[in-house]
Amino acid sequence: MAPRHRRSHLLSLILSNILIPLAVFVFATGFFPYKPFLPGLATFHDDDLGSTVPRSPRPRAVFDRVIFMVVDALRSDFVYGYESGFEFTQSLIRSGAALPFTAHATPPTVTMPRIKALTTGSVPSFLDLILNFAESDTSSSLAQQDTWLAQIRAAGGELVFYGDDTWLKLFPGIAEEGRDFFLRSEGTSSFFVSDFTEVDLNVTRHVPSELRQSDWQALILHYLGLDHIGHKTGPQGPNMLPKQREMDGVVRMIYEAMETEVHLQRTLLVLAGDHGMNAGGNHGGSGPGETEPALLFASPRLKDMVGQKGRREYECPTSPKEGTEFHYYSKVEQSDVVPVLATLLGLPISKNSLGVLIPELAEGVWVGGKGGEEGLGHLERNARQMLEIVRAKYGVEGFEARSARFRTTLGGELGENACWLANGDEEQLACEWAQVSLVLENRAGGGGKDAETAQKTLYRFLAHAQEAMSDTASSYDIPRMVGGMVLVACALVAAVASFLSSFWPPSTAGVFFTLLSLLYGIMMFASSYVEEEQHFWYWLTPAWIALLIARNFFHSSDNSSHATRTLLAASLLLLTHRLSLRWNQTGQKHAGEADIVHTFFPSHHILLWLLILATYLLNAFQLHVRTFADILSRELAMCLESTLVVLAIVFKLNFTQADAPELVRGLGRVIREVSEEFPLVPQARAVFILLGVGVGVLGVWGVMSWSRLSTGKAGEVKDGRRVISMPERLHPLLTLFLMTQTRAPNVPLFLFMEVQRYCFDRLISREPRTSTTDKGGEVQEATSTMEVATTALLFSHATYFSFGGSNSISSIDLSNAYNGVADYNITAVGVLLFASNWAGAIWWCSAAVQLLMPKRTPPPSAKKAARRQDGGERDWVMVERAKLHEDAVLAARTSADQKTTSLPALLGEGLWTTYVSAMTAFVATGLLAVMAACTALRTHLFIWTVFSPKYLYAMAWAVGWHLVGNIGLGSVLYWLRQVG
Amino acid sequence: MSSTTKAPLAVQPNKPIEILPSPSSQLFSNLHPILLLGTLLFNFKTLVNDPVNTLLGLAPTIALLQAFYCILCLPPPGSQAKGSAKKKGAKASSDLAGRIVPTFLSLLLTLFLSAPALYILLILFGAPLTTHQLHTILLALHLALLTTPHLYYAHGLVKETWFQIASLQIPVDEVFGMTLGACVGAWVGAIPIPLDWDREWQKWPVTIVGGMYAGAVVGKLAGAWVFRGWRVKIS
Repeated sequence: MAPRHRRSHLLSLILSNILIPLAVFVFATGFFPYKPFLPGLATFHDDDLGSTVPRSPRPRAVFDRVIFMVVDALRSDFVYGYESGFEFTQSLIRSGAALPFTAHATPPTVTMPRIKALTTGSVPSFLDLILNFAESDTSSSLAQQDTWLAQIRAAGGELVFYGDDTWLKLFPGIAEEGRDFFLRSEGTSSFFVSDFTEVDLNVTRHVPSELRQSDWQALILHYLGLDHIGHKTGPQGPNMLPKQREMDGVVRMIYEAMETEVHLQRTLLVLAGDHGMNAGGNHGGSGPGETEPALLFASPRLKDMVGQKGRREYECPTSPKEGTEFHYYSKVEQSDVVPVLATLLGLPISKNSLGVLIPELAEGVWVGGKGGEEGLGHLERNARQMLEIVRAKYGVEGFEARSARFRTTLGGELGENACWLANGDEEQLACEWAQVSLVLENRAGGGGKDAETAQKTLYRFLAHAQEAMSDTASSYDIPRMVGGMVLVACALVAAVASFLSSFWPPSTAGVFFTLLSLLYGIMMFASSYVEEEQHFWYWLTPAWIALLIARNFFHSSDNSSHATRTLLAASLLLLTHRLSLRWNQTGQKHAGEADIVHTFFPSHHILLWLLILATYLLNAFQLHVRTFADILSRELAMCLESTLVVLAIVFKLNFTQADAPELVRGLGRVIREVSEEFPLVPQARAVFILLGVGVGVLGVWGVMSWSRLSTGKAGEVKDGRRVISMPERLHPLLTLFLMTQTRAPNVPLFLFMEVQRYCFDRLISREPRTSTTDKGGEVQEATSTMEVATTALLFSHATYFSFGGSNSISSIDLSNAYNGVADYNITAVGVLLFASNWAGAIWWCSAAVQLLMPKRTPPPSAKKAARRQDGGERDWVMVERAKLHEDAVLAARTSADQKTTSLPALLGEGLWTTYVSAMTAFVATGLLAVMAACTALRTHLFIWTVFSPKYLYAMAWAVGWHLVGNIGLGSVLYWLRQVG
Repeated sequence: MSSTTKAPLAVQPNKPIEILPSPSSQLFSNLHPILLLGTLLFNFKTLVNDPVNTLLGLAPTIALLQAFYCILCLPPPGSQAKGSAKKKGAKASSDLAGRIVPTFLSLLLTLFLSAPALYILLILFGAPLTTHQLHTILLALHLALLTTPHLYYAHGLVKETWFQIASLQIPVDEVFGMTLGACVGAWVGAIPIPLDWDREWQKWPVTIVGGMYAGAVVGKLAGAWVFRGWRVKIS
């Protein structure tokens, strides 16, 4: 290939990889629009709106205190079902002292967005999900936003909090007042999910004393234990029922205090789950159970309030609604808590709340009392507050004008179907508001419709507004989304253009790679295949191995030892692949089903630890024979290696004891006792520091050998011994880092991957690169590059899923994200989080570099000759021939090395750019498909549950894995291959 | 290393296999795919309801169909290598015995060699190991019946030939086409399983069985009419 071509190809590749992050960003801004929110606190004097309509008086506070008890992951059936441990709570429901609901939690069903929904009443966006992992970010703080907590404080009340420290991050101290948001508080960290008891005892121990105090208006408790049990053992785990009984005991303690203590007489207890859990005990997405937490209001006063008229009998325990699994009683939105609490406590409703007063509660508490007048007043306030959001969205003037027009055309018609002419959400809402204002005027004028019609009209407006405002579908920025797609399409064209010439004529690997990319793109439009993406990779990988067998047989029909080696390597590949695909059950459909990690290892923990030790031993061996070979003296190297690996094992053991004690079960007690005095943070830091020392040693050695390189002495094949290049030396260090970032039961997968890399090294064709000018030689190179690219692509994805990853938010593993991090540091946590979730995929980036590198072994003839010479049999012709060949290769290589010291030529080298081009083309195809699917299906039911998370993952794959891993790490490693 | 530049094979392979010219051979060869597909379609409902018993019950029928195909349509073993000179001199009576015995041996090999090997291969390709054992064993049996009896019959047990078969380097004909088609069909048949259509026929191993029968038939027809004499190019 001519140099000019190379340069234009390189430019095209660089352009493509600049366009990719740009496209990702542009599309994201259109797809996840930033939602404006109304600033400031709501008051009762926001009177400038709808001034033609008279306002109802301030609400009467029915309660003056609230105890808000959040039990993390409290799914509805845990409280209401037949197998519940909440016996006392169920008796309250039966007696009428508690009103039960199933609250709908909108995805993402992780704690922080749910707390936002429960306190502000708004529907948090997917941006909040990212902020959930970047917890310290102040823009996610709720201290300055309008919440019912802020309303209580504005009314002069005090707040007390115990539980999950997410609340303390959301409500930090207020600088202007120079004090904390809460009067008293203690946070518990949800760091180790193996902690079932301490986290909750730390909350409960404060409750009796707080119940005796009367200086607070709101007591907030957030229990984490039930969620931990769910993550660990699933909803059917042995600790689940005792934990439910414990939570029931807390409810009993609070309720009994409410009955006996005078200052608690007018107190309301709210028991709520922030989200539910799926059959596997995880949450984050929208699977069955994840979006259905319980919500319950209890007070002895409710028994009297829910008077004769509005009284409903609740059966408890009971079964869910027919055809559902977790839908008990009436279903409400989580945000409905906000107007309910505000109204019951006599406070203004928070400005951004999309909640609607719950009819059953309203009927029970007010209609029974004052003939509905008061209840209507509350509804009206709710409607006005909602109207403000509607107007903010559609524009005040336009909405007013529309509404006024409907007032005249309606002509007093208030029926449900009166607004049939209205088209779209905005007109519908305008029409419905016109109806509401007509009703309110009529009532103010003393005449007009009865209370029931008024109520119906108000509810119709509120329900519709809630639905329309929660539905972000209408706020997509389509031009930006299309812009993102156009950019990524350009990136795809540029990527394909950059390697088309080495792609043609088509090779088997090239055709396979193209088909793979196309199939992957098509697959993105099928929601079930997005949820079950692992099947795609698990399905293609064996086929690729089978193709490689056929290819190798094709070249070895006259050489049966090569055929045997091929079969052996392929069998090992298939076997390790088959084992690793059962390692962790992933996907949505069969979440929580039996797999090796969760079913087999807990009962065979010794085997697990033997495998883990074997993996670390292999790593130690590689550190010795590769990383530090010929650099440090044998003794020093041994010392460094053993310290490093032993520290890593000790950290893994201690971490697992804290994170998953059921996998340790008393193993290595002596080690754990000795290392007990060191916390986990310095232990992890020690490992990281030693890894850094290792890299530093290699760096110094690299600089030294670089200076030798410039004098043209590098790359010699000394005495027939293999020369170890820099990427090979760095690989074991990277592996050890990734193993540190991996949960213990997944560590043996690194052993498998090492085996797989070794086998592929045997299977992938590697033709001698004698000539690079010859056209035929060029094609041969490219063929093997496409094979490496296909292999790396398949195994990066397959291992990502076999490590337990999926396209659902619930599979993100946070446990290793804080290794060695004491204070919150967003960069460090981000890097560690990515490394721990993409460990296998990152590992294959480095493995691919090694597979791509031409081997610097002496030619087989030389080896044979040397052996013969050793054996005393002189075959001087062979020796001479080998020597000549060696010299020729050396000469070619040295000249190549000298050529490649300038950067463009270096990166422009065929093998690596072809590899990167192929990967770029795949990433661009995948991104384009995901973007197109998100755009085409933006009104689809699954958009928030399947496609939005997929887009987030596609972003991570494109930016984290492709740009940082493949291109960043890979290019550096590939460049370093010359050192050594 | 494109395959066009060099021919690494020591033994240059046989030509594509020709179906015997007699009318009965031609007739059965054309009937064969219809019978295969017909048998499956006719039993599809019971296959969905009770895969194990249906597959078990169908196995003898399929074995018989394959046996007839070998006896009636394929050139008797050995004739391919030794050329057409022998064809003329062969007598009808010894011919029949010379066909039934190898057919029987082919089926025995299919049962005791191909089926276990394919069972292991199916497991390695992702078939369930801890559950559905009977399903997968019978699936392997059917896959073996669709892929190997005719290969054993037509090509014997010559090591070089089987190397060529494994490296996809024998010329495409309807015998090899059927084998290749069945394998690819079985592999493609796995696609509908994860889809959320909640159909009864998505369960293991119905789609695989359907895929491999369809694949065998398509492969046979394509091998006989479209790609006859081609060689798969692997580079």
